[in-house]
Amino acid sequence: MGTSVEAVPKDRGTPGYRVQPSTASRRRSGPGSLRDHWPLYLMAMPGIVSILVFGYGPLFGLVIAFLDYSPVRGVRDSEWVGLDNFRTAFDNPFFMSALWNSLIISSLKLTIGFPSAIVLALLLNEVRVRWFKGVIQTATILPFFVSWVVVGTMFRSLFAPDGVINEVRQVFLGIDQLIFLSDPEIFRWIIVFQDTWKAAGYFAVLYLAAMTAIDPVLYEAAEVDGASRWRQTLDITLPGIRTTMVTLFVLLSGYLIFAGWEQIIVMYNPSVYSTADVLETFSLRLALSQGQYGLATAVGLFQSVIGLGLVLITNWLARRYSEQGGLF
Amino acid sequence: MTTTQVPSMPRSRRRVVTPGRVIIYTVLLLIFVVMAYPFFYILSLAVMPYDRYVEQSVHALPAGFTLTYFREVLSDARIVDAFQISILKTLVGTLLNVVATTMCAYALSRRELRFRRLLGLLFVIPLFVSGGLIPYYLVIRSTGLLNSFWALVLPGLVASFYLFVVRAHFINYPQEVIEAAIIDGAGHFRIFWQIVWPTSAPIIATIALLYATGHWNDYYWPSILVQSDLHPATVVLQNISTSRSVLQGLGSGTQLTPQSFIAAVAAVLIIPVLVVYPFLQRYLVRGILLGSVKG
Repeated sequence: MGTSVEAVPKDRGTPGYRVQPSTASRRRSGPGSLRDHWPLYLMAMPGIVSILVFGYGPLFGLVIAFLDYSPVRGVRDSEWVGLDNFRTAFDNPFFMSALWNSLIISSLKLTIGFPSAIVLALLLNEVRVRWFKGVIQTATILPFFVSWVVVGTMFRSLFAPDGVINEVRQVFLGIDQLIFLSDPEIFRWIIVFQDTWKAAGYFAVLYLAAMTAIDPVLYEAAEVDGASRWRQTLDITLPGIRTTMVTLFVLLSGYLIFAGWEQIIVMYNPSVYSTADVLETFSLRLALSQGQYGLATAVGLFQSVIGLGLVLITNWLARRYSEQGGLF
Repeated sequence: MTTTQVPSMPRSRRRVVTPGRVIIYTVLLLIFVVMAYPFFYILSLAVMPYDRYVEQSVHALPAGFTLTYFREVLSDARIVDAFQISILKTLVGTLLNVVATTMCAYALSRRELRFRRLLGLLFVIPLFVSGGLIPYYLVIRSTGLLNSFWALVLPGLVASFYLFVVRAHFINYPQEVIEAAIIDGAGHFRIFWQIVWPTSAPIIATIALLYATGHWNDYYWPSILVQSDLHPATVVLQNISTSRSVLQGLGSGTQLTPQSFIAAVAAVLIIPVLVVYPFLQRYLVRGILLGSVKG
C-alpha cells in the first residue's frame, strides 16, 4: 500500500518532467525535428508512395525475368529458372526479328530525324520577320502535343486506299491504288517520316534556345570581316549549338534499342509484323496474349541493359572525340 | 509572297531579297504545308457534306460545310461517354498530379526536412533505371487498381522530372518570405497554400499543362488497364480507325465507317488542343526547355 501511495506524487511530478524533454528537443532540433515539421513529411508522402510503387515496384518486378512466373502462383511460389528465359528468347526467331526491327527503325529515325531538327532550327534562325517565324514555329511544335492516336488516325486517313494520297496518285498519275500501311517496306518509312514530323519542332526549340545564347558580337565581327551568312552559320552557329547536339545525340543513342513503341502500337497491323514488330510490341504480345510474363520481362530487361550500354559507349566516344566532352 | 514584303519593313538593314533568302522562306513554307496539311485534311473531311464527298474523286481540299458528323459523334453514347472519361481523367488526374508534385517538391526544398538528400536520390534513380513495361503492368495489377477509374489517374502520380523542376524553383524562392511566415507562427501547409502556391503560378501552369496533355493524349495504358466502359476517347478513336482499315484490307463489301465520321472524332480530340495551344504556347515551350536543363 505504502508504495502505491508514494507512487502517486511521483506520477504527479511527471508533467513537470515532461516539459523538459520537449523543450530540449525543440532546442536540439533546429532543422528536422519531426514534431515541429511533421506537415512537411505529410506533404512529401503522396509523392514518396507513388515513386515507391510505380518507380521501384517494377524494378523489383524484374526478378520475374528469372522465374517461370505465373500470376496465379505469384513471385514467391514461381520456380527459379535462372537464365532460361533469356535462352528461350534468343532462340526465338521472332525475337531476333523484333530486335533487328527495333535497331533499323530507331537508327533510321536517328539519321533522318536528328539532322532534320537541326536544319529546321537553322532555317528558323535566319528568319527576321517575327510573325512568319512565329507561325512556322507554332505549326512545327503542335504535333508534339497531339496524341499518337490522333496522329495515327490522320496518317491512316492520308494513306488509306480511299485517302488523299491514293486519290491523287490515281487521278493525276494514273497509278494503281496502293495499301501503303500494309506494305512492310513502305510502312517502315512512314513510321520514320511520321516520327520526324511529330518531333522535329520540339527538338528545334532546344537548338533555337542554344542559338540565342550565342554572343551577337561574334556575328558582328564576322560581318565586318565580310563573312557570308552561310559562312557565319558554319563557323559560328553550328559550333555554338554543338553542346546541345552532343547532349541530344548521346541521349538519343540510348534509345537506339527503343524504337518508339507507342507510335508502332498505334500504327501497325499483322501484315507488317515482319518489319514493324519491335521488342516492346513483341514482349507485350508475349505477356498479354500468351501469358508468358517471365519471357516478356526477360526481353524488356535485355533491352534496358543494351540501352544503358549504348548510352555509356556514346558518352565515352563523345568524351574522347569531341571538345566539350560527354554528358557525364 | 513573304519575301517581297520583307524589304518594305522599316529598320531592315540587311533585309534585301537575295536568292538565299528566297530559298529559306520557300523551304519554310513547304515545311509549314507538310506540318499543317494532316490537320487541315482531317478537319476538312470532318465538315465535308456527304453529297460533296461522293461527287468528287479527290478530297484534298475542303468542299462545303456541315456539322452532321459532329452531331452524329455527339449523339453516339459510347463516344460521348469516352469523352467524358477523357475530360474527367484530365481534370482529376492533372489536379492530383500537380498537388502531389508541388507539395512533395516544397517539402524536398525545405532545409527542415531530414533525409532530404536521401529522398532526392529516391526520386533520381527511377529516371535512370526502369523495370520496363511488363513489371510495370504487373505492379499496377497487384495494386488492385485494374478496371477502376483510379487506374487512369494514379499511376505516375508524381513524375520525378517535373518534381525536380518545381523543387529547383522552390529552392530559388525568396527564403526571407518563408522564414518570416514561420516566425509569425504559420504552419507549412498555410505557407504552402497561401504564400508559395499563389506566387508560383507560371511554373505550376507549365507542369499542369504538361501533365494535362499527357492525360488527354494517353492511349496505351488505358486500353489495357481498364475495360471498355472506362475507355477514354483516344482508345475509342483508335478502335474505330483501325477496324475500318482492317475491313478495308479484307476488301469485303461491308459498309465502312465514313472517313468523315472518324475525322470528326479525331477533330473533337484535336480542337481543345488547337484552341488552347496558341495561348499556352509559351508555357509549353518553357516546358520543353525545362526538359533540356536536366537532359
